[in-house]
Amino acid sequence: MKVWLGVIGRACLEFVIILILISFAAGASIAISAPVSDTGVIYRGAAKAALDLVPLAAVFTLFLAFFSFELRVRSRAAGWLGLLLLGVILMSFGLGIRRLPLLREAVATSSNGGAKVLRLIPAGTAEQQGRVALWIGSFAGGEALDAVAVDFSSDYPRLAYAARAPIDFSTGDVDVQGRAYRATLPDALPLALVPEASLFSGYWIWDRLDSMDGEPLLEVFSAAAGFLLLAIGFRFLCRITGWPLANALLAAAGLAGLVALDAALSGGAILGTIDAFARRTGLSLPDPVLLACVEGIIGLALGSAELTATSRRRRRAGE
Amino acid sequence: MNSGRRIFGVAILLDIVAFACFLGYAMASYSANRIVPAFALKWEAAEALHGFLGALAGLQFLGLAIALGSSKGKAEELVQGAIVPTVVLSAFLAAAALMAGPQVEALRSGIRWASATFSSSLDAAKASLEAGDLARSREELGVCQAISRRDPRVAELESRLSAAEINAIRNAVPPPAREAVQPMDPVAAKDYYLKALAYAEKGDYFSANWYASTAARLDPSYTDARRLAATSWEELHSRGADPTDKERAAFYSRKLEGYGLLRSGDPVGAYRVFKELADAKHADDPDVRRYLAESLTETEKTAFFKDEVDGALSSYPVPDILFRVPAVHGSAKGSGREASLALIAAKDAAWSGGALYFREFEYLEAAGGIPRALVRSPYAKLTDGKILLVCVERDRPANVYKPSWSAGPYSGPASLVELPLVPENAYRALAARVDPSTLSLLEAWEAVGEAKAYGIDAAPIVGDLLSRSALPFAVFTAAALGALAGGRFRRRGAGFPRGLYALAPFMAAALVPVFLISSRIDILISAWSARIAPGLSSLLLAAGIRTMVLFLAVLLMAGARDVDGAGID
Repeated sequence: MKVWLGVIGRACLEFVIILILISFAAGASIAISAPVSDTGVIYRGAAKAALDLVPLAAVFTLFLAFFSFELRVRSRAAGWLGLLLLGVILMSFGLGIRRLPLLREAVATSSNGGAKVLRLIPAGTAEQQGRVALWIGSFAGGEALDAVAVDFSSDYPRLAYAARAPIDFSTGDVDVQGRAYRATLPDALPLALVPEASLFSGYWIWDRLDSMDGEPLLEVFSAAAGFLLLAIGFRFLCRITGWPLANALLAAAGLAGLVALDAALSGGAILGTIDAFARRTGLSLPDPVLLACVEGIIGLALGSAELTATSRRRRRAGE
Repeated sequence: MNSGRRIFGVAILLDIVAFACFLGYAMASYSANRIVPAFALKWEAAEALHGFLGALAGLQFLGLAIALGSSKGKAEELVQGAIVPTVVLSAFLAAAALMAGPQVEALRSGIRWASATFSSSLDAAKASLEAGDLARSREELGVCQAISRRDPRVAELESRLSAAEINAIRNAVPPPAREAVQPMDPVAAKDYYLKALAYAEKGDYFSANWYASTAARLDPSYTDARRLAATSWEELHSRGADPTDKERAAFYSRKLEGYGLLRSGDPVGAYRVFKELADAKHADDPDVRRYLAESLTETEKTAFFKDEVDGALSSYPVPDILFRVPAVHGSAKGSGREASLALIAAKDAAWSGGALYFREFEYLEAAGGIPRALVRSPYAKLTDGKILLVCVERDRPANVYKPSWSAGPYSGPASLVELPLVPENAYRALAARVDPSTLSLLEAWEAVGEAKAYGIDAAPIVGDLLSRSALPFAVFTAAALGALAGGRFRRRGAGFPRGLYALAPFMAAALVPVFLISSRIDILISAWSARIAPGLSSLLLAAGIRTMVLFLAVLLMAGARDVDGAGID
């Protein structure tokens, strides 16, 4: 029992470390696209991401805990229960804390970027956007001095020059020989650590839970519980081959596969099919609950198969 | 086998297998529609190397993990024994990747560009031939031939085009020759006569005849000039010329015309005349040979040939050029002619033979908001300190591409612009903006400083340097983490069945998502560093963050130990 609790405690600590790391990574990603290069943006972004990325950190922690339980807890049933308890603690903590009005308000206020800042191109550097290059010698009194624009997609000759080009601060354009050219730097896009889930027409679990803030608590917890059971079902990966290194790598791939599977299941086509099947059998449930049921069933089936296979192997080994 | 030798063996074997896989993939995915067949082998090798270098960190992780993960003994002993070979192997691979990377990228970019140019020129040549524009078709086909002469598509089009050209020549009617009317100018005639006299005294009757004839044409009443023209012609005749021979007389007349152009400061015109004479079966004439060479030399001082530009631009041009001419403080060129703005724009530019060639060139120089020089030229050539604006077709010297000045020139000839530009530096700064990965590490470093002087956005080159500086960290960190993973996740108990090695491909495939996420984190470190600390200081910031990650990996590796009594079977 002491070892069992120790594994859970250690996993909780790992969860905190993982959450901090991925939150800061997400904060850095947001900071890249911020209009002002301010180190404070990364902290504000990380605070916001910490609330959103709990499911991701939890699933990371669970996969690490697979190996900890495997090493330290002999009973597989106890290990399974430990993982379930750990998952419930982490998910409840994550979902509960993000519903605290005070915290949400504080994060929303701090992450609100405020007024849009116009970032003019640096003077003395040729800036190219698309096939249009713009050079500005200097800025003075709402004007760009020595402005040269070259639209490489137009016919030759293409160089346009204006000794003084007025800047339209509402659009960030300068007028060079009667044509408007953009004199602001383009908005940088945030660098996503995981690609868009559009491939699956569904949403990543963290995006899905994030969008359910206004939904009834039962639906939110059902969605989290379904995902949790599905994740624990992947425990078989940590002993799938006779080489622990291969198991570890396959488990890492399994983690990605789990998240992708969840996103695929949440997609319109698959969920629609499941919904149609459920209706035919007289079962009428909201989509999140239905999806959670499917995921839970898959997870429990995988878990049961693994427990059965282990027991059989141990019996054969004469233990 | 000790862990050191095992690491070398497994890692190198894995690298070879991985390279073979990348090569196989490159060969399978090769398409002749995309890449010209003449470059197929080079392209496949470059693609395989590109993939291999990109996956180097992942391979290093996997190699170390497999080597240690299939070893026997205590984890701490294995890891300690692995430190030296890991460091040596990682250092070697990282250094090799840093050196080979730019060359691989340059090769890939060059082949991609050449293939794209080949395809577009081939299509244009075919379309022009269909439309009856044989000159355009020949020009486009010339580009294709410069890239891949032996391509069957080029040979097929060449035969069709040649047939069309022969037909066109047969059907052509020669235009009637027109005689230029010379205006009356007694003062100039006198000058020409005096020059003719001087040449006659030196015994250069060839020149004397030309100047005297010109003087006579400028002033028909100038009897001395006519007389001198006649006597010098007699002298020439006594040396072999036959005045009754009309063909020879025409030849001499053309020769004199070319000579006159050369002496009057029009080397391009002289080259045109002597080239025509050389092509018209007079190439053996010593005067033609001599003055053709002389006019060629003079032409190269003030102009350049179109085949030079075509050759350069068919290699790998940098598109969309706009840069500032760096100011030279305290130089003779800079003093007294300081402009607030001096910019060059061009459709593209290419480096060849120590010169930088531009297409659709524009140069603007302004002072106090007023343009004092604005020149445009279809082609331009930058050599040390000057930009030549006149371009001549070597085989058809009548085709001359000349500059047009909207403002200026305020000093010097109209055929060139003197600017304090070093072609190599300018090209490096331009290439760094478009394709920085093709520059060597040293060149890339220099290009950052030059970009500022040339008013070029340094962000791409700094971004590339950030990405390159990440490679050694990634290789070392991956190696440390691989050793750690291998040490921790070893198979315990009796022996290591060889059949388990069959899992290696699945392990490699399983590593892909982790590798992709790690690569994204690495890109994130680079991008964030560039955002927070612009310029070269971002390299220091990124290096600091990566050192911390590496330190953490080493710490984890050093702290690796067995968990007694809790073996994974």
